[in-house]
Amino acid sequence: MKRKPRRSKLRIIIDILKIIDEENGARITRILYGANLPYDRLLKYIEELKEKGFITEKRENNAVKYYLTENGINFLMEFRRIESFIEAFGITF
Amino acid sequence: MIKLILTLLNILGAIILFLVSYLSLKAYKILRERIFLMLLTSFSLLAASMIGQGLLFLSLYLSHPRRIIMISLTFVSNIVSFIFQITAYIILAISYSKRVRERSLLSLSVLMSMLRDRGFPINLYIFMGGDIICIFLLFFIAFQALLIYLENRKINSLLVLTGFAMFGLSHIFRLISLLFLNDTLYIFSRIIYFLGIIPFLAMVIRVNRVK
Repeated sequence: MKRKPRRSKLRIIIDILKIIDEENGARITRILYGANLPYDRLLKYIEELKEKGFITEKRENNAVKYYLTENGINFLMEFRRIESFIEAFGITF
Repeated sequence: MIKLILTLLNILGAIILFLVSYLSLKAYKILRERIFLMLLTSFSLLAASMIGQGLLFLSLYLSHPRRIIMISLTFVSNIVSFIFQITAYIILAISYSKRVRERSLLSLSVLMSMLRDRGFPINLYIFMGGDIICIFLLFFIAFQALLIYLENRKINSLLVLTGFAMFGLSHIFRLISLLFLNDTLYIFSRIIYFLGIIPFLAMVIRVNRVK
């Protein structure tokens, strides 16, 4: 059976940002399922994204939800453009 | 008048190719993959060859120098432009054969051996030889672009394929124009080359529209 190639760190970050964007704010469990990561690794990524100012944490009805910041939205938009550009040349990463 | 139009088309074409280079640079900054540096280099070389020629022809058009100076400068600029173009196509062909999804039937080594076996008289007919090399390289690049389009069916990939195919077609016309010393065919080849840049502009516009 052919193994799936390992996702790069950037790919994982983009997957997390995409889930938060699609859900318009997402809880950790939703991100966990969507990004398909173990809990401890996901927390590390979440911390990193918060430090970089791409996401922000808000407490709503006793639950923590994550939202994209302006920086995060811009980064994701820039990435989607780049993705569309590299697809044109058949490049995958 | 036609020379002035071709000159302006050269400058406009160079600006479009620089836009593709800029996108490659942005992709490199985000993804840090060497392939984007290769795309950046090749499109910058193509743009530089066009803008260099465009600006030279524009200055010659405006200053009306002596005929011998005009011929010498045109010859040198053609040689430099050829070197830039061939280098750009080689880099593109290498980047396609290296990283692009491995679905190709042809490899660069096959292409190179084909060129070697034919024994093109590059020393004798620099421009014709240069054009033949460009045609072979562009055939290879367009073929890879076709395979990519058949695989992903994305409009942007179709635009890239169209662009490279038209570049190849323009080199075929330029070769014929050199063989028959036909100015009309040469002008035609330059127009096709410019038309080949339009799909790249369309791709840049489409990429920038992505939300």
